[in-house]
Amino acid sequence: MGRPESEPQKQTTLTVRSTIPFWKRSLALNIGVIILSLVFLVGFFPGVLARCNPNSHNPDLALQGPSRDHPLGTDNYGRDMLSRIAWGTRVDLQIGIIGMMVPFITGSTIGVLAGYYGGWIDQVLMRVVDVVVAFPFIVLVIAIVAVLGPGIFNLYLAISLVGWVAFARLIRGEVLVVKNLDYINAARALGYSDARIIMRHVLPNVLGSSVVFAATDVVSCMLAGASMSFLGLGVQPPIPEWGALISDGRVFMTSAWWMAALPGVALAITGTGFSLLGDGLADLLRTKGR
Amino acid sequence: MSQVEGRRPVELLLQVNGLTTYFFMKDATVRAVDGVTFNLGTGETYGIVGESGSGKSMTLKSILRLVPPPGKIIGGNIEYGGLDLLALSPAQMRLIRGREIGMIFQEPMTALNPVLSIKQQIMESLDTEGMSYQEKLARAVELLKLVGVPSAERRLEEYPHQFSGGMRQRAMIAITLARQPKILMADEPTTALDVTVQDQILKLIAGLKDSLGMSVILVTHDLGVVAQMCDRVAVMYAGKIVETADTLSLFSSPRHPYTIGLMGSLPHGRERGTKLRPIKGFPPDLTSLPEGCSFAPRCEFATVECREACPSATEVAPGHMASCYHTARLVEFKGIIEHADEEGGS
Repeated sequence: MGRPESEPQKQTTLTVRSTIPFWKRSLALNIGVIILSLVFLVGFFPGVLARCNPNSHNPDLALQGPSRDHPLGTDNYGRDMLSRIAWGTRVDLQIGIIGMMVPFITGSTIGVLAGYYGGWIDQVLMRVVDVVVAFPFIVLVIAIVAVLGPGIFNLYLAISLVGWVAFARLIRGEVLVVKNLDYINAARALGYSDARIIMRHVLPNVLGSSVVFAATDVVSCMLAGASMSFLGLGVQPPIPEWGALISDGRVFMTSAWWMAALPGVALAITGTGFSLLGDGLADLLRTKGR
Repeated sequence: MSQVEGRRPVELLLQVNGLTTYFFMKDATVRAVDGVTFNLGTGETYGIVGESGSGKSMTLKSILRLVPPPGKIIGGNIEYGGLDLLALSPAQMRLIRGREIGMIFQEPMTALNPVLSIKQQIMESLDTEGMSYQEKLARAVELLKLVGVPSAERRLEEYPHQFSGGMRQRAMIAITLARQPKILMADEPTTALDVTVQDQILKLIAGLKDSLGMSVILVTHDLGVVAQMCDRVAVMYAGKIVETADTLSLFSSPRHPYTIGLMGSLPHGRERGTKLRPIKGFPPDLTSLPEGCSFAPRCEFATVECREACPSATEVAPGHMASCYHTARLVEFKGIIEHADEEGGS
């Protein structure tokens, strides 16, 4: 503050600080990105790992342990576990990301409107949020799917109906802080429209925390999807999905541990990747606070 | 200094009549702005002084109708260009903000959006009809140069955190000027800045006012700033204007005890050795103002009369209004006080 004006040297130090490359700022972010790149690679191109058709039965090879031909063993129909897990990556990533995106968009919109306009809009929306929050996430998802019937579309619908509340709450809280800051007052004093103020001045300043939350929310959506498939309410056989694979392998836990354990490992690795990404993004946002 | 030119016949640009803004809290009503009346002439700099919580900032916010809830404008009218601003629809009011009446804020550190570059913020503020990107960019550079930011082309690309306090206030002024307002309202524009930078910013505002033909309403708690900048001044206390006059008369013959008190609490360069005379007591609680004159509990001249009914504004000299029963006697009193000071000081 109040620094003598027009001093080129001070500016250079500032410039140096702000040009530290982002990949040097957070180790968690780097590890998370590496893990997720590999997971996404498999998700987009299951062929890099899968050498067999994930759905081709081969009763002769049923329940074989890890071997050279089948590095992760086979299941009770003789299907190659590595191929099934690899193809399952795509399904699980899809559930995680769609299950995060839709609530992210709807929840953020609702949160911004409630926070910015306040008044009765805020009251009504936040009471709805309270009701939804009162139920455990997975219980409500199960209840909705049970009503709508099993299937992947209904799974998305259920996750979206429940998931938005977390984003709405988070964003609303941030908006309540930001909307009273001077730069929002200044924007109003310049005669900007509410739409412009929200899109250009409020949103970019409140999205940070929910982007971080979104990264970890992907994990809980994937877990919810897997749990639903495990219960037979989500992805239907024979589509390979990690939760469904775990469910199939549960019966053979004592004789063929790999059937249930290895899809669980895949889920854990992916979950770790997203968590590290979230932590890393949080680190970046913290260092941005100057 | 502009007040040297004296009172020239001015065309009225803005007329505020009986503006009243209350804050309705759960268990109390805060009378933040309580019947404020003043007018602003074309090309004039009008000062509003008062201590914290006297309602000066809220007066500006009320003019733009940006009073935050639970505050509400409950009375008065604001005439601008033949329109009553308080009667406009929200959409019409939006066209007044920025384009007709611009406002700059006290805290340059927080008044700029941290995620947008200075360029984005100035260009957003430009009225964009029929301007190409290149034209807008050129105009943004021009504006930043106008407010005295060195190497404007380069600094345009920077973000607010790369600007110092004074530079941010300049950028803020540039953003406000991009809308070409006819009135610039400045809410303590220099309070958060270093003294040396304060002076630069004040000179900048004064210079821009003259070169762009704007009128300025300057809110401050600093009588020195008023003396330097303003043609006319209003002194606010507890949501009311207690005295208004042209700057010269206000400083030479203040007619309200509060104004006298303010000046007594100001150090004078020449009068070494004299004691400062702080105003006794505390700023009033706006939720429970006393009956009668709000200043009476702190006033050295208060009589029974003052505690019973609130004095209305009376014209003590042409263009000089004061809300006090004792305006006539004050001149005498003031002499006595100064005499006492001289004796006490020597």
